[in-house]
Amino acid sequence: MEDYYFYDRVGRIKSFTSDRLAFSMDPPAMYGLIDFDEGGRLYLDITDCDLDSLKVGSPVKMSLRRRYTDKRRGTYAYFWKAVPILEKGE
Amino acid sequence: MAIGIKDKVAIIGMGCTRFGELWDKSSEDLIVEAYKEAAQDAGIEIKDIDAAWYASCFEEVNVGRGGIPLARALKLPNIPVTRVENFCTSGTEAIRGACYGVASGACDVALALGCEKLKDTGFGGLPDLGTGEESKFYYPNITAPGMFAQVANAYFAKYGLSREEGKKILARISLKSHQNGAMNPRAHLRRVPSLDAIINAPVIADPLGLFDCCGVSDGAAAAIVVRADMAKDFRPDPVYVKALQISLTPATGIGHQSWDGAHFESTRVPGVKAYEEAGIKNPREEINLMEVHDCFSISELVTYESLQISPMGKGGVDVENGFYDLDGKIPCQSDGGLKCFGHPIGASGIRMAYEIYKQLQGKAKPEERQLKSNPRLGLTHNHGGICGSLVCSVAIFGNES
Repeated sequence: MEDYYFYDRVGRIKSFTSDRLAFSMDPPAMYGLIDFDEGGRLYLDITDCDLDSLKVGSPVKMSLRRRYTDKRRGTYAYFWKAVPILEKGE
Repeated sequence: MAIGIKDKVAIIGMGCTRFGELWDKSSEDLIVEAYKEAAQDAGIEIKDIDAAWYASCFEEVNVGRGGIPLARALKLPNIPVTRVENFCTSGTEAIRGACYGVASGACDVALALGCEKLKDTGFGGLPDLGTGEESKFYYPNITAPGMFAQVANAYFAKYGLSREEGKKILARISLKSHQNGAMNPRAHLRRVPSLDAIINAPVIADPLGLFDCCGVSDGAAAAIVVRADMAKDFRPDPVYVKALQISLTPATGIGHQSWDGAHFESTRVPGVKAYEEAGIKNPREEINLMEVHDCFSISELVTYESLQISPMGKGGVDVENGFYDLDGKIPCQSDGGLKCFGHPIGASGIRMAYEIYKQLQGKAKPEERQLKSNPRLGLTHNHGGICGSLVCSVAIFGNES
């Protein structure tokens, strides 16, 4: 079995929400199901956007971001988040 | 297909406490109250019970683990007591355990009882429920409203509804449940907001607002099950179990693009099996009332369609035509539903069966809540977990053998 990388592949928003109940360092938490154009689906945080820019079917790219910080122990965890690809002028 | 459970067992007694913020009652108080009503209804005593199934979802919240809380509260005399937990289907799992126990011949009289004390968490919403596969290090902090909000957005997109059009349909669903709940003294939420107030309520997880979300409650409910051929020895109007189905998806919905995000395959499959088990060919014509899992208004809308009552994408038309209202063709959530009766998880499936049982007997209280249509067949539906990876139960009950 060969490794398959998603980091440079375009995904599309299948479903999304802006959640005011979920814990977030930068509320409201935005996340959704992302479908990759060449196959595959994943629940991901969506970032660098506001709710009005999220539509089912709109494209996103992957961006490696800090997800977790433990200042007391000096540990950090990173994972991929989805960033909407905006049309020029948006 | 297997022969199934149809007409093998019957319910001869049921009990249900008021649901709500019951700060003055412990889980033991609630268990005893639900049991007493059921036992009195059935005309049995503790010594008559051969085995018990006990449902609770969050054992951490003042209810306790295993079957011990039920055995201790009721002083059950050295009989098998099994705790079941399967997310929001837990209550129906307890009924299923009791029915299968009786049908197998292992016991003649079985008790199913569910109890939950959710308000003792001290916060709104539910405690965290891990399903195993999601790592907190990379998975979004998904909440229950956030999950179902995504189904709403996917549904709106699939059927070309604007956010405003979609929210109006959802509000109409919640309004109906508030109207029903307001008539029910045992319901948690008993006020009727205006349609505008529902639509314009603060957003919890977009597009779902406060009134799209069900109550989180304390409460307990109980059922006493016997073999069908014994049932009329106890009462002239037992309610027979016609179908009991539980189904879990392999979670392909959250990892594979085959799921459209706008229907519940997890509900469609056990629905089809339950209709087959009960001998129902056309559910829209044959089912007379339903209690479905309206944890969120969108869950109720999509469930109408996934249970094949409303055509796909047309649930909103039925909603606007009053098809699911108390005086409609198939009243849904006649007791207020999870939305207004409340949702103490382990008790909810049994609470739904309680409403169906009373309506099928013509004994719903107060009398203005009783359906005038002489209902024969009622359906209950629960589901829980993560949308795309849900556990779902469908049960059907009837008043004729």
